Amino acid sequence: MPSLAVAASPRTRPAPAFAVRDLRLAIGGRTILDGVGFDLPAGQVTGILGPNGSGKSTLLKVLARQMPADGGSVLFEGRILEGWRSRDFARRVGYLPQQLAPAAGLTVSELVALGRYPWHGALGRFSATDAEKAEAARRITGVERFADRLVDQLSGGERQRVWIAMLIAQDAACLLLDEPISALDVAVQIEVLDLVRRLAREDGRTVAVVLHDINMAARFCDHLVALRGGRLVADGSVDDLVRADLLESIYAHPMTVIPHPETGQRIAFPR
Amino acid sequence: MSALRQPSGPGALALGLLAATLAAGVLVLLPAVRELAGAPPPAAAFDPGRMVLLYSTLPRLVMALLCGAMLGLAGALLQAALGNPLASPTTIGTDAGARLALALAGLFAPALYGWGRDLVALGGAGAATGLVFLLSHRQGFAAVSLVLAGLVVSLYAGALAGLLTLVEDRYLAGLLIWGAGSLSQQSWDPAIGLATRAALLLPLVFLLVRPLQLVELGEDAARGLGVPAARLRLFAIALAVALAAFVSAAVGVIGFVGLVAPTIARAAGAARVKHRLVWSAVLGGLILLLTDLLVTLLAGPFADFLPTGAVTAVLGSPILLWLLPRVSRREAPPLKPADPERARRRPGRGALAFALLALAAFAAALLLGHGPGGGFGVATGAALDAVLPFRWPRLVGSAGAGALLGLAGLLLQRLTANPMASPEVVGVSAGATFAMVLSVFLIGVAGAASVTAAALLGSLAALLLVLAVARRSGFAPERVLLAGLAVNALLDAVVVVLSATGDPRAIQLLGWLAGFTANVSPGSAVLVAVGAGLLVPLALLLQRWLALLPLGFPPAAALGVPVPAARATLLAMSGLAVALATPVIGPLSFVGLMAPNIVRRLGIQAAGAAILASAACGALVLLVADIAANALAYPLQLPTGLVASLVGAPFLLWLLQSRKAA
Repeated sequence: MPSLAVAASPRTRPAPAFAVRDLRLAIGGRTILDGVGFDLPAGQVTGILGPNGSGKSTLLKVLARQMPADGGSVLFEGRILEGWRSRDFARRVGYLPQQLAPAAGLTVSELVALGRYPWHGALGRFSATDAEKAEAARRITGVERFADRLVDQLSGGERQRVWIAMLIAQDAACLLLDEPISALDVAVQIEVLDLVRRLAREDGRTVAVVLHDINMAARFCDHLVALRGGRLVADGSVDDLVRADLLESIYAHPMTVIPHPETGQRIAFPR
Repeated sequence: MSALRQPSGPGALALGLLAATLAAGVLVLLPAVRELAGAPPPAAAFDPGRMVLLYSTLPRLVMALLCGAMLGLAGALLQAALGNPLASPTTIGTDAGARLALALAGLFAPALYGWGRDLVALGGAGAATGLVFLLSHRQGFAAVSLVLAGLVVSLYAGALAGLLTLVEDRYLAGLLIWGAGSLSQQSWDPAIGLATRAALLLPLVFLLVRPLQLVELGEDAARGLGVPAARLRLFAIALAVALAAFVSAAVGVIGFVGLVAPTIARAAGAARVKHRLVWSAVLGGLILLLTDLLVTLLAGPFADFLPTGAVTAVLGSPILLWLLPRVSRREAPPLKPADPERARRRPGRGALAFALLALAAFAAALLLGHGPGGGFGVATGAALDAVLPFRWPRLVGSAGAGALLGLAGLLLQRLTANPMASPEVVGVSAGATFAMVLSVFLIGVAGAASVTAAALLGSLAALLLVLAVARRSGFAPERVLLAGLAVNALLDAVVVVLSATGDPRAIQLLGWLAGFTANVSPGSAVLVAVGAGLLVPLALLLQRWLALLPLGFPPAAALGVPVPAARATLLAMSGLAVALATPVIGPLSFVGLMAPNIVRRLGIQAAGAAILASAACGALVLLVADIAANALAYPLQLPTGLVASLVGAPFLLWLLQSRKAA
């Protein structure tokens, strides 16, 4: 039985990993992010919710320095994003894009080992520490048993695990995951999100994950933020967010919230 | 989302083109007409001005309109049938196949005329198109794969045609002018003949309009609606090939009209199949007519010798370059992942084996061969001393060039994540050749150092051009390849125009393009070897980038790789390698395509081992080709580059074809 996410109340909120202030971004004249501001709590799993086109993926890309913002500021560990050297940043923050390359011709262990790049760079030696970290990452994520298989021969769930293993090998304290479960079936979704939460709980990692499914988010996240039309419309604990009126305003569709008949967790569905 | 503009778009565009065409037409025809009108009624039966107007100028205009319309229609048919915005007779090998078949017919059956020529063109076009489909069907005719396969087949057919013209150089100038699509006419007969053929095909096209609209929904959906999609597509493609082949048989190859017309029609808002077919034909006719009128106006008396087909390529490829970033991303589907390959456990051993084989080939080539007396055997002692000065520059040059091309091919294939990428395809070779041609024709330099410098400048310029076009998409692999395709076509057309002038240097140029290594000077051999000796270790140093970049921009950047700088560095290295190798081996050896693919097929995947193995394999291929080029027709020397491509390309096709099903 998974422990419920109510433990994460904002009572003992530590210093934020990311502090986002008044973030603005427009692409081709269309406003994508319109004054977004929130704190991403360290050591917790934060779910980023919102309907299609609300700017959640873009927000994650800005946090991952994949894309510069037009205005506003983002602090990571108290330092503005632009102030980080790219390899130093990569040692602290791992990013998993929504579209993953086929990684043709790479075996699982080769792909995981690539996660060590921020530590050894283009010319440095692949040290014993690097090998250890890569091995540990394979073990933690449970991809050890197909270490010698080719990545493009794996199933969707296995491939997602391997890419997460690469982020773990990167040894980053903060993981930014863009819809890591969008193309997976329910059992595998739960498996992957279980792994993600375990990574946060056991090693104190900070995780921000873009999710579509409000119930998955409620089940696995400690903290939720919601965007709509590029604006932040909600920021709080699961209990704060999973309320019919608030979800209605996020998704622009009438929602019903009832307790789960067995676990008691609140579940939401469109009316 | 360009398809959602007002439906008046293509009409307005056509009106504008029509106005421009009319203006140019008046300018061309006015002097002749005025002269005729002002002159008294012809007393004698012979009136040259009147005859030129009636039997040369007017048929030429009609021919231009007709050919353009047929090509535009063929392009639109192909695009609809394949669901591929980049399909056209030029891009899928149809033109090149017809050109090669007709060149063969011109040399070996010059009496062939009328429908016989059409059949020959049809056979060549059909064979080349079929080959392209064979190569790309595993990837579902994905836009870029199809175009790449088409380009490889086109380049190969071009290499064969090049060899023909080299052997039969009497026909050189005529063949080149014809091959580049000359519209000049001496009577109405060809126009009437072509119009007859078009009239035969048109009813069949009309039959296809409605079913093709359904095929656009996807093969499964069409089948659900009762349309035999696969057969229908095949039929539409056959029709398009016939249209293009008839045009080729009548006037030669006119590139790019079949690509540009449908692209413009679509961009102007012709969304449905019916509209696209009609407007592509209309716009194609007008575009070719306008181009031809401008050629006539600007080239004056030389218009008959300036092939309009080459001009359309010169004009059309920049249009394609300009259009590429604007083609909606959704229209060009991304590359499908390559079929899974077996990865080798100890890739280093494979690389070592290749290096040893290359060394062995080098030693064998140095010792084995026709001695001073003409006998074939192992040279030792004094005999070796006698042949060594002749053999070593050739062999060192071949080995070095092969290693450089193998390296360049590997870098480009890894960077673009596409196994069909190669120096030839990306336009870098064309750039090097172009600069070499320019330097010979315009400046007259011929020394090894200056030619190499020109090749270096040319290949880097081509590389920069390709990169500039691809920059907007963040150097997305498919954009780099398409930009390279356009640059290739552009430079190729310019080289054809220059060669078509009939300058005796053109023959020297062809020999050079074919890649004779016999004339490699010791200086350039050393230069190439040093280049290989520096660039291969440098690539080994940067192998981690090579391993990370194929993961795509976001993951590589998230790991702290300076992605744009890394891409630029590796691209520049491949450009430099091609620039060094091209003066020695010519642009047509296909080693840059072959070597990395052989290595990959053998399961050598790890970046470092692949670098070494590709370079060694490239050297090996060219050394073997060099031995063959010298021994096969002794005392005649065959061009090593061409031998490598003639032997290697079928091998490569077989390799790519024999993939196990996924």
